Amino acid sequence: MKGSQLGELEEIILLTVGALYDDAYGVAVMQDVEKRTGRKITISTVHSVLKRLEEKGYCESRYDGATNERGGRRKHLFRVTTAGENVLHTSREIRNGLWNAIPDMAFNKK
Amino acid sequence: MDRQEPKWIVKWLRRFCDQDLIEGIEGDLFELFELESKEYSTSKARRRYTWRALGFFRASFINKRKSITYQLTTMLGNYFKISIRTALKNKTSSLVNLLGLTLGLTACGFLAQYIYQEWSYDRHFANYDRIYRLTLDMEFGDEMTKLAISPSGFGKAVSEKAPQVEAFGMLRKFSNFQFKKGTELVKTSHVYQTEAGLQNILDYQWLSGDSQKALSEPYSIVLTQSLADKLLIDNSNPVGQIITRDNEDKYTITGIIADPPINSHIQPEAFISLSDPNVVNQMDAWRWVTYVKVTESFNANKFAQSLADISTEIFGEKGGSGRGKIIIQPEKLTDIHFISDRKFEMETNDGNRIYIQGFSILMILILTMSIINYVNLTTAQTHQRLKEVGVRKTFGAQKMQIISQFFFESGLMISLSVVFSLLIILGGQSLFQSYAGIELSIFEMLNWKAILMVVAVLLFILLFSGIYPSLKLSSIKAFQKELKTKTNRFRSILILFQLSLSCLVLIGTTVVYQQYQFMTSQQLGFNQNQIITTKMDDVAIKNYWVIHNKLMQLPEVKTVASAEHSPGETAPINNFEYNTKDGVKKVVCPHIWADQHYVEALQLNIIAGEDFEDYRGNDGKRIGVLINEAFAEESGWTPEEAVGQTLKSGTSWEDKIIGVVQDFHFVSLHHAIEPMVIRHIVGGRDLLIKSASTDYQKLMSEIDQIWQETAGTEQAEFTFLDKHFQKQYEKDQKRAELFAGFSFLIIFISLAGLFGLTTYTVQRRLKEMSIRKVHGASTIEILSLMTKEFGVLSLLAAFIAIPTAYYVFNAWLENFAYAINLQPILLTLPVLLLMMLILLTAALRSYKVVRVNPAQILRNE
Repeated sequence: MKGSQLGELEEIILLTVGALYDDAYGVAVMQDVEKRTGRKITISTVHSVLKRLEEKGYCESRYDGATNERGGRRKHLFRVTTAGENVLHTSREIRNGLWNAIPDMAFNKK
Repeated sequence: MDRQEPKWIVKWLRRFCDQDLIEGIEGDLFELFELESKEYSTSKARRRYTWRALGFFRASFINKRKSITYQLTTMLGNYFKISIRTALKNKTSSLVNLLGLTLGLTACGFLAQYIYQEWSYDRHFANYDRIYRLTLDMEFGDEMTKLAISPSGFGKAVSEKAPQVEAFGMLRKFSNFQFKKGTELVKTSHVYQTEAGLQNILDYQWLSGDSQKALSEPYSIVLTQSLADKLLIDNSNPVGQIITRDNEDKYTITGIIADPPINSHIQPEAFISLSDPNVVNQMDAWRWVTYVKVTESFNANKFAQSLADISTEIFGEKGGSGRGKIIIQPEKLTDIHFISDRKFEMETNDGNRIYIQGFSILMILILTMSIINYVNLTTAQTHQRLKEVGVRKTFGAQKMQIISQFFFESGLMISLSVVFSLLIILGGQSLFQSYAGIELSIFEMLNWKAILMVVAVLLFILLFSGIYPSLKLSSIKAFQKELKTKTNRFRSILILFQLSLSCLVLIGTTVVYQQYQFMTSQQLGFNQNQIITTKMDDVAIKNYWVIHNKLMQLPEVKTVASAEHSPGETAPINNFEYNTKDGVKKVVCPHIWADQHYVEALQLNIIAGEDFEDYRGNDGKRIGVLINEAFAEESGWTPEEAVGQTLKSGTSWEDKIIGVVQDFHFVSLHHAIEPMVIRHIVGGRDLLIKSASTDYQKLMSEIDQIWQETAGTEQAEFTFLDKHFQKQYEKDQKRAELFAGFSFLIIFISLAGLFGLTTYTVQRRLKEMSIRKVHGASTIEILSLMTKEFGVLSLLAAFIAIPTAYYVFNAWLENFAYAINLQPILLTLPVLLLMMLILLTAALRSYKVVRVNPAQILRNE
């Protein structure tokens, strides 16, 4: 699939969506990423990444029920799909594999 | 909570963003806005909101269904792709189109520069449309002498008497001023004397000094930048410095002007003020060129009328001192370069509007040829694109969209050609400039008007090249499978037009070239070869006999002569009277002064009487005059009768004709031979050395040495008379060459077009011809079938072109005093040649059909 690679920011946001589970919408994701990583990202970037993830099939989205908050606008909620889960697993395994491959000597030297 | 989010940005956002995303985006923006309005002031929160919202204007959020930009870019992307594919599929025709358009545009780029430089003469003066030069026509008996000059008081007199004149200006040219720079002498040839108000008429760009007052004091001088650089030792602060002329006159520098543009009828190096302010009231010094500036409410007819009255007022009904009536002729400043060919012009005005018109027509023709190629080749491909247009229409394309698609394709082709031709123009610029004598840089020409013109021309090209193909292709029906073959007629007309023009242009080039050849190979009536000439200065003239004798001692020198005016220059006009049985008759004609070696040096033929004799030396006594054959003819004498007749001029001069020389072309062959009188002088300004050898290097060094010994330190500039004479035709030659070059371009472009069309026909008729071959058609039959169309068309073109050419070029040749006859062969040979070329082009391309194996073509039917 074209563009099935997961970028670094994409991975972080996808993980955050997973972490927020049922309340993953733009502002929440943005605040959560900032809280956990200290990275300030703009809301438009968050939306853009979420849209890309959805296009790649790693997330799905829906609108929740109407509220009076947010000026009457519904929240655009995201959830990780099975494909998203798989890609996160793969990514993690690759990292684990690499971690395991590093000999103890390499980091203990200093 | 008061909601004060900036509504306008939300509105734009809604318009821009994808429908599915906008609610979530708006909600998030609002939530953040509420959060921040607790933290910051409302205005800051609003600012941050706007800033944040702006971040959403990115391609990934675009509303694909609604956004016109999105649809347009996709559509144009598709058009682009299709254009490239079609172009690659038809390599020959794309190449021909590209080549034609590129060459056409390049040629236009170059021609436009030439035209611009000529057209823009004197248009840099601020009030160029209100400035007139007042020249005088003087009647002498039956003849009119046209003068560029007028008396010094003329300008002031006119400006006082004519209410339509706002200001006047006057110039007098000095062509031999020398200034001292330390011990060196700096020569100038264009110093103008003027009164104080010059700047009001001819505004130059002043770099320093006061333009209004600079020339009001006597012995003030205003230098151009380049002369100042050449003349001044310390150039940092020129105003106020004093410079000395070779005769010890001292001038104070009162201003520096920028070098005047090259496209002006006067090329000043410096202006000096009047030495006596009173000359503007005097009417006896006829050396001044007079300009006037007219008021804004100027009326040309009224002005001409008032000038007639003023002329009588100033010069009297009959004029003074034996002159006839004087008529004032106003010349528009911008016309001078083109029309003015008077006696005592300050510079030669060699402009010619005919050439501007000719080159403009050539430019349009070249462009037309490229456009016709494009239209022909594109419409020839129509059937290839039936399916494409059909599919587009089936999917709902509007006619307008198809039209715009094909305009886009033309636009693409044109843009590509523009890029290529710009590259060529930039690369070839310096070469062309030096070749065509263009001295304006390209940046001097590029003002916003010129750029607007270029854009307009490009749009025109786009319109004309795109309109027919796009209309034709867009009219294809969605399910049309075949084209009606009738559509060829329009193309045939275009080809006919192209071919006729090519014929015409080829005939034209031949005629122009023949005429030029004829002119340069004409018998001048004197031997211009191996003659070295120079202008002597006063020191050299004083020592003329010393120089003469020393030169004569050189073994390489045959003859040394001096004269006032050497061949190729404009001789002054005089009126001569003589007695006949019917009373006194008058001839107005040029006269020159020459010494007793002149006839020998130029190898003129004396057909009656004798040459000047030697014995008088330089005592200044008159020893008779020579006349030319034309003079004798005009007077009705045979050459033998003419000898011994007496000529009179004015009240005091009178002399006998001692000899008649055979007619020779004193001025260029543009002019017919006029009657002429040669009077005797010793030590005229022009020195002519006839050399016996062609080892000029040795001769020149010897001459240089003699010059240094006798004529002072100054080195004279020697030229060869034949070169000097040739100079008169240089511009003609350049124009003829340019004309020929661009004409061949036209022919090349149209031949390339035919080549492309044949390629296409070959593709289409390959099967047909294969079947014919199988049935036994011979090579000749097939070739004649393939080339028949062009054969017929070129024959028709010949029938159109030959009479037109006859008519046009006969009229053109009438401009020349010595012209070739339009022989039938001149008209038919080029056409025959062109027809052969056309058929050859078509046949060469068609030969492919002959060569192929029909079995290979026909097997997959």
